[in-house]
Amino acid sequence: MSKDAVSTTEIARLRELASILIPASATMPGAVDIPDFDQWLARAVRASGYSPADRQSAVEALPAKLTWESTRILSLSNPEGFAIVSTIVSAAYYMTPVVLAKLGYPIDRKNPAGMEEFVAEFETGIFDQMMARQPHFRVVPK
Amino acid sequence: MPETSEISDVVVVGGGPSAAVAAHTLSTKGLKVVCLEQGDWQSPADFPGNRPEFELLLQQKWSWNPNTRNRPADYPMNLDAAEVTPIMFAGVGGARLLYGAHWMRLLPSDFRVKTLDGICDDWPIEYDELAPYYDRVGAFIGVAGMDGDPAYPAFEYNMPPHPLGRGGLRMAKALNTLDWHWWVGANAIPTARHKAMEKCVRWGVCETGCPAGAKASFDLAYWPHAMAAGAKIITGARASEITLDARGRADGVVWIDRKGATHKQRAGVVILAANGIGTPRLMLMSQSGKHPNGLGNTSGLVGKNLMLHPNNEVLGLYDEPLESWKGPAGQPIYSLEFYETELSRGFYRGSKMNLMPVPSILRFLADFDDLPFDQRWGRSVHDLAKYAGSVLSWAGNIEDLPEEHNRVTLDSSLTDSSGLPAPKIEYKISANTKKSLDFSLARMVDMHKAAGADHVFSHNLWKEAPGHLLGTARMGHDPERSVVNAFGRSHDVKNLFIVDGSVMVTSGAMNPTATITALSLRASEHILATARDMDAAA
Repeated sequence: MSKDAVSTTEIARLRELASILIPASATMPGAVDIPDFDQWLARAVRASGYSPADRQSAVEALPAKLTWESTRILSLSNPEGFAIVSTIVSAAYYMTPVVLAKLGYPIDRKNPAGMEEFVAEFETGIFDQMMARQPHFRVVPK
Repeated sequence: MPETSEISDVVVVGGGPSAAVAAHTLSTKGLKVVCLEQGDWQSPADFPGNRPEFELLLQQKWSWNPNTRNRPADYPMNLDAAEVTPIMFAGVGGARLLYGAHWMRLLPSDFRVKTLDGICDDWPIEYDELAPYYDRVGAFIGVAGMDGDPAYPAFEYNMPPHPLGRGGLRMAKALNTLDWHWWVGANAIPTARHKAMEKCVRWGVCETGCPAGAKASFDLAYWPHAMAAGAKIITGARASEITLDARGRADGVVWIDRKGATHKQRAGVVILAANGIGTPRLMLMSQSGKHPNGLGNTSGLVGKNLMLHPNNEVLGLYDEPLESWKGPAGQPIYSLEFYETELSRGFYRGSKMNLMPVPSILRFLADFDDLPFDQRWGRSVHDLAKYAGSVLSWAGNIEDLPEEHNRVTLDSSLTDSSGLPAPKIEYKISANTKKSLDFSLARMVDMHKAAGADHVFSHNLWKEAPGHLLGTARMGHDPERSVVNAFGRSHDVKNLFIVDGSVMVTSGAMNPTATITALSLRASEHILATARDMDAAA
């Protein structure tokens, strides 16, 4: 395995962290409830711009026993490392279709506008105030 | 000795918007045009915005900062003395592959800052002279907008505007309440299929490259037409020197391919379109006995007066769904309320402000990182993330005044992968610009508050933005105070032209691509009109 590749141990630790940072709520799934979350974590690691050394160091700095309190202490004692691992975990969570759908994001991002959309906005009168203004650009002497 | 090529009428260095306009204009009139571009073609399918991990891809692989991106086509920059990073992208279409396509003309006052405000210099041309070229480039690429903005002299758009959307409407109401100027966005993003460009599908990731091919990046908007007219573009071609003949006229450009082989493209006319960093870099590298300080640098101004348009931003998070994942981004609306000099504010000139939707989730969540741990993480994260889709960004594009100490020089030790000296950027934000940054930031907070934002986050400087690289080979009538004349022609070398943002005398506060391409069209037609008299090498 390349030294740059993400290991199963790293993924396991990131998953453990995710369970603490992003638990389920009444309306949102917890990170570890996401199907194939390990694969999303691996995808996030591959896409991120952190150097393998920085990333691995940040993962290795995670407390052996991850709890809410030990994670909180880590965030204060090693903010740079915590920023790396928390960003990867967050990114993995918020790129999943199930979470995006829960947040109201469309799965199909293509939303071409119909011509009637602007017309409807115009007809609300929203432009009237600006259209009533006289030209007010600064006059330049010839 | 470099390998020599068949001679062309014109060689263009750079493959961005101004290069594309020049290549198209000249090739359609029968001139043989060869363009040297150090980057490659980019497929819309390769852009990161169509991937769920696009925010992470911007950290490095698709960073706007070439030092971070570090692709083979990129050259490094020494930024130790730069308070703003001059971002760029090497590729056919240039940095405008990754722009928001805000298509803004300068105002008449921008060309007369000396006359009106008693500072800087006037341009050697006026708005009225450039207006027809704005019209023609706009018509060619298809700019969407609405006629009648009272902040501008009258002109016509070529396509209907994009809808304001929920966020734009909410903010427009707020600005009406404040009685501050706003207008529906001018975007070089087609609202209907136009030539090689698709109709916008409002993906919302314009500034990371349009995955739908629905933005007037110049690989789509101009290059296909230039190539159909006969222009040739060589990718992976890094220009290293402009050469002169025995009579002191430019006779071609030496370039290095990715394997390190040296070539020479001979030509009768040399056009530089390598942006406000790359163009002075190449001129400074082109030293000779007759031009010991770099080619075309008798004035000593090549590389000086760098203007970068510092940007600031205020994010607003709202309590209703605003569909801020929906584009274009693009600008639904802009405001020129604080564009002009008002000395009671304590500084000269002003800013252009634009509203943009924010589809990115990590970006706004990061603004909560200062919260205590238990308010940022755990179940609290869901209380914060509920704002996804309800985030609007006001950004200020601040007019930067020309100052000679802000400059591009050649670094004494840092080199690119071809062994050529890297540019060293010295750029300090002036006291005037700092005051304008502070003022505009406060006004954008006012805008969000008037619109009823739940949370407002101020960012007083985007260090890696906006990629407006201006002023480093300024135009003017006086050869002692300028590098090129009003048509971009070098005062020193009569068949050497510059058509990129380097020639801008002052920066204005508008996104500059509309102006740069209009200047390029004007310069190119001047080349056609004066070709017989140019006494060129060919």
